[in-house]
Amino acid sequence: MGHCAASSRALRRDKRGVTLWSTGPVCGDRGPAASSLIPVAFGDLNRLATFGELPINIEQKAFQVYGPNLRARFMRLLAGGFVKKKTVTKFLIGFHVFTLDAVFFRVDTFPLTWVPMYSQFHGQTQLVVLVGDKAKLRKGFEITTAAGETEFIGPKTLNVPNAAFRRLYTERAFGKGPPKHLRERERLNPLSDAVFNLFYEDPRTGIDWHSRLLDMMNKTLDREPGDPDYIVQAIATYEFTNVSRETRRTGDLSDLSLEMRTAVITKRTP
Amino acid sequence: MSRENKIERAWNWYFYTGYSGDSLGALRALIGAGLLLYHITQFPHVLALSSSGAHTHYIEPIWYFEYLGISTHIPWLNIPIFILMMVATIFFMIGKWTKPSILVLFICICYLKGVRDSFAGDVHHRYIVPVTLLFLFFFSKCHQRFAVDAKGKTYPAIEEWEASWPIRTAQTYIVLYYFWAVVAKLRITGWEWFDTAGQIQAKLIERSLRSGFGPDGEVLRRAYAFDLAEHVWIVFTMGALVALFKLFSPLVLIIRRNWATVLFLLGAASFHVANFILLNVQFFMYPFVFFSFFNMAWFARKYRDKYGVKNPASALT
Repeated sequence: MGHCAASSRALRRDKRGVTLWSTGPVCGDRGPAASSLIPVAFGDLNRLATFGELPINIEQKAFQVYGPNLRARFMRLLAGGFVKKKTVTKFLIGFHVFTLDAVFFRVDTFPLTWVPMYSQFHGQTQLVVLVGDKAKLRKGFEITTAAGETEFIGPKTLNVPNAAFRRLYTERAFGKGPPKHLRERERLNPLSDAVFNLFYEDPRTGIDWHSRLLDMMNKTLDREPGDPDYIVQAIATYEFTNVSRETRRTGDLSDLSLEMRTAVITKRTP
Repeated sequence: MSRENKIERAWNWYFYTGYSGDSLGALRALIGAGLLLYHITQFPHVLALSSSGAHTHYIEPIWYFEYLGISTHIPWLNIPIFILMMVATIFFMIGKWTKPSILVLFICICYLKGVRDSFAGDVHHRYIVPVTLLFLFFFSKCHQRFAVDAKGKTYPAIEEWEASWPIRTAQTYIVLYYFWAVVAKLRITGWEWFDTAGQIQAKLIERSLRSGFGPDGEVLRRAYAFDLAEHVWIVFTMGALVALFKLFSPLVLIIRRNWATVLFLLGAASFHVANFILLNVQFFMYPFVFFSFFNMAWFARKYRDKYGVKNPASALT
């Protein structure tokens, strides 16, 4: 067997600029036993690719081999839907296994899966509720620029819906993420937790909302670092009320005390 | 009878019986009509944004926006996409180019929902069930009955199993949506969720105080929700009823009786309407998905009789 030039690249181009598919060693003359490394589904492609530098476009070949079949299947679906009961049974099993798995692992990725909303409840002893102030929301964040000027930036300037701005102003500014992050992570079973940690940082603690808010405002308004109008600080103030469990149990909500809270939003220094 | 046969029979009874081609076609048309109204309730805030306004940088793009590298809102694109979505919904409803319409509809929903949810990162679930229904319709023969696509064509008759599986799967998905919700509440928070000082009362207080107090100390909007929060036993009863409804909802899949379906639908519809009135949860048009629980073949027949449509497969022609 001839000498094989080892290459681990998945795609490479020959002298004529033709893309070649190669997942194993690429040989000058004959095909090596590299096909054993390739999944069966790609067997044909591998054979084509490892038999030297073939003067054909592998992608075209792949389409000739697989494309019409896939296209025909898709067109059949478009034209008719499933025609065999066995196929439907397999589809239904797959569909329900997928749905149940997602519920078990609590994966919240529209449109594939969902995690039930409003399951969490954190107000058992003290319920902290924000008290709306539309005028304040319309006015928006009080921002300070690099030049030291102050101005207000509201939903109109940022061109975001009022409901989204309310969340930015009363939740993200106060370090509170969207409920989705709690839904996905709170009281997860250990297996799901381990799987989740393989792919993502815990969004409940891993996101610096203040930096994101400042970035969002600066990028939206095309303000670059170094510009005098670059936003370096934003302030949000809002009224909240605390309602204890005892008060809620009695049902007497006539005497709620209000508390003003302020969030000073600056970038975290690395 | 062997165990395998029993399972097979139960499976066949559950997924492959009960509906005809007319049921499937008419259901497609009615779900399409419901979707038309539903879309209007879902995106008014996004459509009201200034087309020439700032291109907002998303604070947390929805996962597929992140994969596609979409990090900025393009405000002028919302209205054309919405119009395209409405046109695709009409085509889906009347059964013209049904399958391609489903694909277009799906892309438009993903885009507009992505825009809405990426501004602040809150992901809403209002399209989970409708999109799953579209997915099931895509793999079914819904375009071969009661559809413009069927005009002048002689499709073979749709067998009972072919018409039943998408409808039964849709029903299962809808019911499990409620069932998993109560399981999650019980598992994560426990019975305290339904208690007198539980989540329902907390949400009533939160949502009614969203608009704040007036100068005289009165709650500005949804004062009735705030008043209701003070009646702890009524709130508790409501919570208990919600728990019972959700826990027992899977029974409607097994008891194939009209009274069970009507009871379930009354429970679900009151739940959604109350959620909207008391808590401003924008699910009030959602009960249109409950068409799936009725055999809509009668609707197709009535339509054909009224408009003198001769080809049993076609409609609106």
